[in-house]
Amino acid sequence: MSGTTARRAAIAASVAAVALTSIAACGRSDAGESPGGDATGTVADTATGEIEIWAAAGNGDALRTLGEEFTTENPDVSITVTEIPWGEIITMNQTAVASGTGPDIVMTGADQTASVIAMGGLAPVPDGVMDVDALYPAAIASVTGETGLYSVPWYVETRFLFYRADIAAELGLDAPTTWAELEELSTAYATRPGGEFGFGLPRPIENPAQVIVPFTSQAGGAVADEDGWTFDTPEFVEALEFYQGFFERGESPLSETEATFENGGSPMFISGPWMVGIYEEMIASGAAPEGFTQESVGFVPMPAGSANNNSYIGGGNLGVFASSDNQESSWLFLSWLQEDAQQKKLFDLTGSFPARQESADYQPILDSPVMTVLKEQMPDTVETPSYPSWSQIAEQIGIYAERVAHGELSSQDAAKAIQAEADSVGFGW
Amino acid sequence: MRTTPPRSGRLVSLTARRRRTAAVAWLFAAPFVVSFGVFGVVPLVSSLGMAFTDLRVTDIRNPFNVDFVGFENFVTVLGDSTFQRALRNTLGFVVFGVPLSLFSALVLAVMLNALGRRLATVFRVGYYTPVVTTIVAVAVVWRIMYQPNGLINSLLATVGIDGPNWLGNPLTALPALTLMAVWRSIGSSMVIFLAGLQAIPTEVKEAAAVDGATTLQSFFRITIPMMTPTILLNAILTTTGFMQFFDEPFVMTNGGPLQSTTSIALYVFNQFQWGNYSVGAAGAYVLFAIISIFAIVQFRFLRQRT
Repeated sequence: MSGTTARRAAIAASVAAVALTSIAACGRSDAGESPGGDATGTVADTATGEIEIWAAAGNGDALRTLGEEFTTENPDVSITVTEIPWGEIITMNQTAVASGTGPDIVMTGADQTASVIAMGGLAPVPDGVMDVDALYPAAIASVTGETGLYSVPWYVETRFLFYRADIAAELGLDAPTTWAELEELSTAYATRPGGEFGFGLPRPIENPAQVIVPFTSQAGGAVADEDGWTFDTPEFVEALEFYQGFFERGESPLSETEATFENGGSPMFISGPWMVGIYEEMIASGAAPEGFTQESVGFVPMPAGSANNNSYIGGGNLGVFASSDNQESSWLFLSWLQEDAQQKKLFDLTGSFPARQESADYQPILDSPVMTVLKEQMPDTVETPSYPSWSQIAEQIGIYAERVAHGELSSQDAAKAIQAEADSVGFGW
Repeated sequence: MRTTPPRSGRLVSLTARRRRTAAVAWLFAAPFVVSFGVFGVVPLVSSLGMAFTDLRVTDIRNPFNVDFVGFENFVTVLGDSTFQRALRNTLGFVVFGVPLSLFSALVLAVMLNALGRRLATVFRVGYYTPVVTTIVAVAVVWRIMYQPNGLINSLLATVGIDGPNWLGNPLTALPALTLMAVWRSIGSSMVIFLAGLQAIPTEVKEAAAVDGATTLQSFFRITIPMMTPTILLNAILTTTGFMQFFDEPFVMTNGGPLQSTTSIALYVFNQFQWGNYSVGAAGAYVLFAIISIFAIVQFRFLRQRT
């Protein structure tokens, strides 16, 4: 019996010793190390070998088709594409970075890129791959790490205002162009006979930061500068108050509701171009309520605050994985995807709006009413803060915005609280 | 103890044989020991170690290139207002959910035990179905039932009660999720209770009946005392499961409204999502400590009576 105890003690001691040695081996050796990949690479003249791509869901086919075209120009290369669900992208990259084995090219959402840069998952973009001046500035911001550029914007998307044009016409009101007109239309919608809500804003679990950041910009502010987060500002408070007003007046639903855009209960919201397709399908399939037609769906650029009408910008970025052994060919492919012809082809394939500004002057885009609005909105966009800690900060904004919406907390106190949380988290590089 | 006489030559060979037997035993146990070591002990020890470092998303390429920060992460976790809220919610969920779940399961088990075999099987399958159903599918149905004019409020309306917006109201969201979790967990506790009930010898009850004990007396004086080990097992299993409250808020409310359904497990999950691995690990070990305390208390409390 005592022998077993002694042996157990010995085993426990050795396990503890191993654990302690591994802890003792810890310690930050070099504080100056850049979070991204290694030294900047170069671009190949002709692509060779295999290029493996992780594409975000819904983009696999487009990349395959474009990849085949690229292969005819570069016969020595072969491209394989794997689709990854949007929600899995961060986890997949974490695992790939930790194990040091991954694909050659990874696609990230504009709001995810910074996190993958912070992991050290992406290689810095070599000179000559992208023409920074040709792309939308907010898209460039989303691929900028602490020390440089780490991905290539492939397509962009933005949000604008959807409103029930038919109901607005009945009420004798036009599409709103300013905050005051937006509030007026919202109140008119909600107080009309049979009306329920006026303006459906994202609820706390729907990431309200994606409207509060643009509202802050519209009020003339910004949520961060080079030194840190700036939430405790008059502009941010103004944005929160504007957001809160719709809830206070009962014009925006605080919880799940059966009021929808098509049944007229919630006749206004902010979203992206895909909603047009959803409503078209709804009308074509006969699922839409009576009286809801194509003419009912109005969409216009965001109404302006005191400073501008900046909207949210998102999009898809493509980067080269830091541990890829075929970086030079991968950069050539990404550089090729940036060219005007491929950017237009992308629009043909998926309807995604090109990241290259001049490619937007494309007849099918100009012919589409929704793309015209998108094109009009694109120059007036504010980048989502491109920092690794953004998703955590956005969650805090959601928590405090909800308390403000419920009237539990004043906008000033919420701004101070978010500032304190954000200061303790930092940018996360 | 020893049956063979102590003869020196035989003793040596016995020790040798015993040693050989031990070696063979270890050989047979090796697949388990090695796999448990690699996939069990190493992650456990490293996650505990992680809780005392400042490992973040930026460190995953060099996970050993981090600093030892002592209990700083635990201070961060315990000082975080979201964690405190999550702790209150989780404890409330456990304090109300576990007794409700155990009591309902016991009542159902006693009722099923009194039923005929075939009928009991039908009901057993029925009550066990929620346990094996995917939460995602169940969540859709429950969300529809909890809607302001969903099934539950329609039922309440027939008796003249104006039901609340269950998942949208910060006061009712946690009770609503508790009810759903109880519904999901009853089946497994019930099956264990049923097995416990069936293990009680009928002679004991017959003897009590002969002595003139009423049904109620025999339930509280015989059934419950003989079921104590089963109740202890179920209490620990259910409490451990309920402390890890995650699925319901994750798919139904995402912790809202006003953080009224956020839980410790959800907090830990979010910290990992945000790349604060060491803070997440510290939160997980706080949860582990609370679960251990609950288990120890239940052991002490229920073991005395057996």
